[in-house]
Amino acid sequence: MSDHPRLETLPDIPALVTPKLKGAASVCIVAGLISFVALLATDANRAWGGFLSGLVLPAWLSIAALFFISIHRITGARWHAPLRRLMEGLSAGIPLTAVGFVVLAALGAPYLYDWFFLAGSPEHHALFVTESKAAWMTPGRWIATGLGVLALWMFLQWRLVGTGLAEDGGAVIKKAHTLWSIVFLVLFAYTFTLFAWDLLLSLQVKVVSAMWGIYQFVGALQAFLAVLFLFAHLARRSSLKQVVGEHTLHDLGTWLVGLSCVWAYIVFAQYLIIAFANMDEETQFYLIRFQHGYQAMATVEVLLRFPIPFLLLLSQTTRTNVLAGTVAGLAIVLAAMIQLVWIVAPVIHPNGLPTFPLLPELAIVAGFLGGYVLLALRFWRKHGLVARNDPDLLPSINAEHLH
Amino acid sequence: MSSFTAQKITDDLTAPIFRRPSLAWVAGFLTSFALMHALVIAVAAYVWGGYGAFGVNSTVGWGNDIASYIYWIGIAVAGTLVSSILLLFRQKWRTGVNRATEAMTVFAINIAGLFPLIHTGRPWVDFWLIPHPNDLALYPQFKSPIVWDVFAITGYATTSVLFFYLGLIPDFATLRDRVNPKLALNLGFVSIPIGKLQRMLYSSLSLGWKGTAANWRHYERAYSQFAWISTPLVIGMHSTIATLLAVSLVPGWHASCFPPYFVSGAIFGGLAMALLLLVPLRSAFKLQEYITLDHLDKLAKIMLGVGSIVTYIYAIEFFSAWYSESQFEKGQFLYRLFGGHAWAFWLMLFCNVVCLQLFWFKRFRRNVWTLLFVAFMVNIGMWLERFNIIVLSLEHDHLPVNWNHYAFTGFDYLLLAGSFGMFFFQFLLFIRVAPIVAIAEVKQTLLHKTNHHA
Repeated sequence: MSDHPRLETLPDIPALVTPKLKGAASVCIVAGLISFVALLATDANRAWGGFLSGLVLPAWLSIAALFFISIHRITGARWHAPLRRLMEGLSAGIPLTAVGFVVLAALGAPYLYDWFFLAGSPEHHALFVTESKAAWMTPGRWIATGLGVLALWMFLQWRLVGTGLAEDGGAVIKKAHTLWSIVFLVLFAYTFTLFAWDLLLSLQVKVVSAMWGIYQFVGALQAFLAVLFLFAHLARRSSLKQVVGEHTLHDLGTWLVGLSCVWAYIVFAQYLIIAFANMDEETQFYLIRFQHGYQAMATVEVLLRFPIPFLLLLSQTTRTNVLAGTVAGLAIVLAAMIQLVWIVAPVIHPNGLPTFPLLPELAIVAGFLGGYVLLALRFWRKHGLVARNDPDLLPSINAEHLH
Repeated sequence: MSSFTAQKITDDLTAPIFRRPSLAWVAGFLTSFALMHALVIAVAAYVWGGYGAFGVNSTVGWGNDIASYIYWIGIAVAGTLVSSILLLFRQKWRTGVNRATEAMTVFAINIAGLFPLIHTGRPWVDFWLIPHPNDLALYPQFKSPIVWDVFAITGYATTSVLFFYLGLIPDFATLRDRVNPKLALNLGFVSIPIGKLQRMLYSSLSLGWKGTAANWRHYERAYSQFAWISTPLVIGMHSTIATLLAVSLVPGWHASCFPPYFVSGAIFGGLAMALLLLVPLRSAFKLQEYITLDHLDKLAKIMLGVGSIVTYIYAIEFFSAWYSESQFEKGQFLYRLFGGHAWAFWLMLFCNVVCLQLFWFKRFRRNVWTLLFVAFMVNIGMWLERFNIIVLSLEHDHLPVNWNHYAFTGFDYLLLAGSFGMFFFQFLLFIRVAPIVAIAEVKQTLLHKTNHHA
């Protein structure tokens, strides 16, 4: 299935020159900033809601990138070697979330979380039934947990990606990389869940879903794969023409189809159980998100997340097709952005918004995405697009793992 | 790696079928056959005396039968899932383990299917579960999650049997061609033409397989399509069973994470059972070249992965219960920690979480005794997990007036032990009539590898 002749040595890889992408990312950032400032002047709640939706996206994508790097390392997978440096670059967004989190904690959180706003007042306790939860839902604990989690993620990203980069200098990294992969995989599930509960689920203090961490994480994995898929297509048109073969794109597409199915499964399972049981503390999550126009967002998101990529990439031939891959990838990325707005906006304006479909919020999220893309481009400019000394690189380019 | 030839592979893998059974096999077969009768006794006692033969009471109406049902369904899930997912992901190492895991599926699901039939209380009218107009012109209540079970199990059983059988067709043809037709058992007064009977059996089962290019083309297409069908079906089936519990309001059951929790738990327990079967099997039938330490190592790694997901969900369940501020949820989870059956919870944690940590170390993943130990403990742990979910949740529901202790009766023990007897009985019988490692698939993989290295 390889679409190019066998390579004996790795060719020179030119830098990824993407002035249009850089321009688009910059436009997104500017649009996001303008939207944020404009909303801040008119409706601060909406502005901070959009800010929250946007700030988690770089961390979600970065953590998903680290997850894929780690899982491929510990399973000994070889197919992804041509994409490893792309993945490492796409893990560079955590600092952006960290900066956003600090700004949110300092200025925006009281606009979003009732329990944060009421902290220290007698009304704060009235929000909770138990003392222990009242003590847990406090600004101090929330900020400390958020900063701690982000610091841990940045440390793990530095170790994991740093170890990967050391290979460029000739170091043998397998043992150390495996070790850091294991450490990351053990820690990330718990910290990711904690962070997702703290930032998003706690917008409604009474809502509980044991699936929340998994739901967010699977969405992040799918969105990351879509971003990787888009960059793989993009890089294949120029710099990585000889490196990313059809078989690699095919494997990546298979992952994406699989993750789209898993996402649909998780979303449906969570919805079915909550809707069927019909308990107040759970159904209110969906109630406010399925009315006043928000249901349209949910429908669009589901369509973009599952049927479109599934049908587009199901066939082996379309899985490597540029157009199909681009449409599927863009659909998923857009859906991930819509999802984050859909989670946050209805809490702030449960009766619907005057400007639908939430374009300013989406622009803020796009701004964060633009920042994330620029960080990734900066990483690749500095460290190249390929892990040249990866022992699995040439065998993977030559599709040896398929024989 | 020794060099493989087609002849050697066929000889090695058909040897367990054509040679005399070993003493160990006979002992195992007779023991499991005897144990299976424990199930017969338990069912007979229940048919004779009613559902009260078991330990269920007015509060805990779902006891051993439903816990065991979910346990066996879990075992069944893992087999097909491992086989089909590894096929879809083009993992060639699956050829060492896929036949055993698929067989495990088929035998586990027919045991699992028995339990809901027993649980209905009047098994002689179980045919009412089939959606056809009965005497009263009534269909089953499709809104009832219990009916979902019927569709889940029958759908899954049909697909897994077909998937399993399809993989066996080329191997049945190999056996057909290797049978000695002159083999006969002479009893003095009559001679039984065993060879002819065997050939007749394998000819029928191989459906006229000739090994032509057309045969292989159709076979491979069908096999991969079954893998595509099986994977979502198996996940959907076990999720249905999880949903059946989760849509209720019983504290301890109603958790949105139940579907992935059950699926990962099923794979975890099923892989443990697969290890429990494969480790002794490779030694008893000298299959170390086909079921290698690498295979066992990989299975152990997957176990570690899914076991870690299960551990995460244990933690999240407790956190959610606390976070929800629901006194019923919190009460339920405190009951698990400190209630009348707390030992079952702590033992489950020890088996499923503590013992599993051994698999972080390569030397333990490649040591057959450690593999057996962990697999054995995880099997205990996974049964206990289902016991905790089913029984402990019902023992401590919303109303204190309902709080009641559940205890096994002698017939419960017989039922549980008998189900294991029935499982091993079927499995031991199977390895005498069909190759436990897929001959055709192994040939494709190992011969290709041998030629490639040459």
